[in-house]
Amino acid sequence: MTVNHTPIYQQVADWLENEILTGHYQAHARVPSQYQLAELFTINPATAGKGLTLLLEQNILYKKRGLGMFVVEDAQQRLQYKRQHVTLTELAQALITEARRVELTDEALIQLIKTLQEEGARD
Amino acid sequence: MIKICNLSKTSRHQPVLDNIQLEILNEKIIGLVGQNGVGKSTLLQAIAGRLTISTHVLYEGQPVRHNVHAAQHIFLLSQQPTFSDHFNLAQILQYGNDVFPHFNWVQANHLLQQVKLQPSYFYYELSKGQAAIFSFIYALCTRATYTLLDEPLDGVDEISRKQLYEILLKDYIQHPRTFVIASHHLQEIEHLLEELIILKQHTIYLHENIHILQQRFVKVSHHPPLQHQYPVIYMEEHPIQSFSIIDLQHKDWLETWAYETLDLHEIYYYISKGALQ
Repeated sequence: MTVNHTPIYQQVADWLENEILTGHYQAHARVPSQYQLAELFTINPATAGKGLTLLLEQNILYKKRGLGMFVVEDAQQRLQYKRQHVTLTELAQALITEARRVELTDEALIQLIKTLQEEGARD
Repeated sequence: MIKICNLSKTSRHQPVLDNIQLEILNEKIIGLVGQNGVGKSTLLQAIAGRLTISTHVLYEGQPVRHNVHAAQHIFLLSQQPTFSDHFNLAQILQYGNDVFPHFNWVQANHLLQQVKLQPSYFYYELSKGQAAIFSFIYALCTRATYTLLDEPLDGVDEISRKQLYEILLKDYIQHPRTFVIASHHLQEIEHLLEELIILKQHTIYLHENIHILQQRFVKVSHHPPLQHQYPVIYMEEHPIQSFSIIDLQHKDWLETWAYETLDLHEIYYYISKGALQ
């Protein structure tokens, strides 16, 4: 079993972000309620609610009283921007650190990425 | 709400519970953890009105001791349930139906069918695991406002335990009420919880929302060891990489540090182990 240390509410928020990024929930689509999420993932509804609140605070979702939560018009673009500029930067930073730790030259690292990209393109 | 004030108990001049102050709110699933002999079962029995010290426990403002109203709304599934050997399962459920105002007879029968227990079985005929499953179903179907489970599902196989906790969660979503679950297997129930109570040295060491706990206790890897001014609750030193568990309650200095969040059972483990260091 893989160990995932990310708090569950963060995992819920990440999951929903991914669903929005892939277009499964489009602009103004209603997302599952905290109770639906709780059943879906077998988690406490308060935890699911906290995941939704995170996205509400980042203006990825908006609330219609009594109706639920919906995807903000430009949520997908904003999430793409966030992932490109924040998440990818962090991952790249970790990659560079690890490469230097094992004394892989910068050129070799870039070559490694290029090779993987070419392999990916073939698949 | 259940409110506990200055609850203490001694046995043979040794403390069992030491000045417990606790408020348990409606509609929450709460984990209760602590090492053996720390007083978990005694605390649950006190809340259920079974001890003389239960006069220190108030349900809706009234002591739970000798209180019929409280007895109908607080159900304790103890480690040795006291179902009569002379009754079959259907009769035990009938008894529950008579006592608990919101008892769900239909669901009880449905769940018995699901776990393949015949209502005509006598309680003494059940295996240890079956008895634990039946007791769990009974507790769920009481729909008591406060359902206290003392190490439930002990001796039950892993798949059934998982299924039954899923049933509990779904039932909670449909009919919100408070569950207090005492368990030595926090990893198994932590995804269900909203709050955690840790008992240490016979008193409440911590009672907190789990999201706050996960933001409060974090792991920092470092070399060499951290200096003393940091609120370290546990440290493990290794030749190459050491790590500390840090309590961020009163400080936010860690914002510039790389840290890992922890699962609830890890937080509990390090808190318990930290006390021994």
